[in-house]
Amino acid sequence: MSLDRRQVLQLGPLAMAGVATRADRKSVTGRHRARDLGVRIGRLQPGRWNAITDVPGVEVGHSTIIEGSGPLVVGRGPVRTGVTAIWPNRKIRDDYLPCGFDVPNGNGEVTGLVQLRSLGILGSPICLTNTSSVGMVYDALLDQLLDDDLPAVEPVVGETWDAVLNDIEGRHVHKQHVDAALQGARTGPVEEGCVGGGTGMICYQFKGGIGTASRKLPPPLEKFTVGVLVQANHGARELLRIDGAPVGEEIGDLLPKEGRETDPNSILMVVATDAPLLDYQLNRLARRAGHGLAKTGSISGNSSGDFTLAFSTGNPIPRRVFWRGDTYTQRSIDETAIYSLLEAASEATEEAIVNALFLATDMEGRDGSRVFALPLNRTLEIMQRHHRLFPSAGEGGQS
Amino acid sequence: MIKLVTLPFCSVVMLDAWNAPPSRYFAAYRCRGTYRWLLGHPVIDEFATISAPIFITPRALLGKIYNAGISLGHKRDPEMGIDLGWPPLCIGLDEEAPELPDDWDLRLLGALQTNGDSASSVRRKDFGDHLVESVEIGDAAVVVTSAPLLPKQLGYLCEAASSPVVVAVSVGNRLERVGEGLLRSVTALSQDKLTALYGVVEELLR
Repeated sequence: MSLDRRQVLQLGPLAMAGVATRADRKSVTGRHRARDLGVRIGRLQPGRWNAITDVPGVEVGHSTIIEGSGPLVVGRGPVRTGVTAIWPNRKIRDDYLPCGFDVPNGNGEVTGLVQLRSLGILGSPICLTNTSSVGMVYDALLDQLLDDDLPAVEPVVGETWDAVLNDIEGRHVHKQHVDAALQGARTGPVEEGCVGGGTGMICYQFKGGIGTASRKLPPPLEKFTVGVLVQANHGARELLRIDGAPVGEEIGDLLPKEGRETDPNSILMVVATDAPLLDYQLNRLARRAGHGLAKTGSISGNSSGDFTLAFSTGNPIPRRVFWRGDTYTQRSIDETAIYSLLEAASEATEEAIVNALFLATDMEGRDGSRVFALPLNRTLEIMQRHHRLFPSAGEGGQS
Repeated sequence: MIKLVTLPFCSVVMLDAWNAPPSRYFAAYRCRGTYRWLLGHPVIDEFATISAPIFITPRALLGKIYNAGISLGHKRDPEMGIDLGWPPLCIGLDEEAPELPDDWDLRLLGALQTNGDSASSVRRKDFGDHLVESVEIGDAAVVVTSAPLLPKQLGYLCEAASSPVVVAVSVGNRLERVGEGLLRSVTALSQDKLTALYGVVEELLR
């Protein structure tokens, strides 16, 4: 019999102890997604890929730039950076989508927020990159947008700071990298860890980067999905909790060996759903992503640039009608039924951050900086001790 | 659209009968400068809707009037709820409060149950097939339109007014309860139409 997390929890402490004290947990080699190793965050079920791409139409692509090693020579490297592109759908330039946002702490940059505040619509792909490459990526995205008699929309580009590992001043992200990420975007499984915009990122002082997860909604909204993708570059080690287990407190070593000092930094969170929602409802989802972030241990520190975007593919607005038409119609889920969407946004964000940690690998960058990956066996041992490890797919559980 | 209840100590903008079936309208507000005497706005911030009358009163009476609004909500439905009169939106005016008669609360609740009048202080303008109405009381302006608008569009209309506090409501989308899991349809104006409507509101409030 396989039990999901909710069923196990309902059986009470005895059953939990039975699960948690399994003596036959095998040593893990390589990097794996958290759920594949028995970490089950929340009570909702993930979608097919447990990724933002479970939302129909959403595609993700990365351009990863890793070049050189040794001392920093600005303009030459070492380079540990990239760009991640998210297509809300391939028709985004013709059909706007309602989009909300939230800013848990605003020491960062996401372009297009004024447009989101005033119009509540998204009209471009979303790109995630490093702090100093925002202008370049913005410029490259402008070339992707339509230029006709209708008003222009703003490209959406977000950033986090990768200067511990990367020659950030060298501006190594160029138009061809943006184009490649956009053109290479696909549905299906999403590559995570040290890829794309997440290549040089650090999370809870372990190697961070890109992570993703999704949740299928329970009845009566079972035909809808919420997916999240994060670029995780945030958090102080001691605060890291995985499904409530104090992993950061218990792994005090493996701190980054940095060529330069840095504060705990920032995170970008992108929430997608095919549930038809209006922009103000998407603001509510965006805020719940912040709850998922907090559950991993972040308090959105003073130096953080923490931003969430949330869009719905279930309410396309033809752009000509939006600007020049008479009226247009939108659908929405009533507030009384929105609870599961809020829960899904929080859960999927929490798991996406954990996936970024689980998939990232050790990385050496500029000036000998070295950032270690979260040690999975030690992490699993801690989670087992705190009764937060469940049978994984290979052990008779659900994946 | 706007029905007004006017008492010496409080004015009330009624959009529906006080005991209307569960429903909400999209709403937005804007406060300018140092204006700060507004109760009941967090539900507009969260859900972008309003279901109760809008109370306008000297700021010293805000607590009492809010309490009367809560009484009205309980009378409408013991559980209240965001589509049954909770919370009352109360706009405070920075002006001297009159002496309250002993039976002020009974007089207010009684007046509300008449559902108000089409007062001469309400200004009106046509906008195509739709109507725009406004009323200005002290520092407050309330704009109501039958044109179907989304919350952000109502926020934009608030910018057309110069009053320190403005509330805009569209009765063009009446949000009634839908079965769990069912979808609701709402309508919005295009940006061109919205710009034209903004001009109408500007004229109305000039």
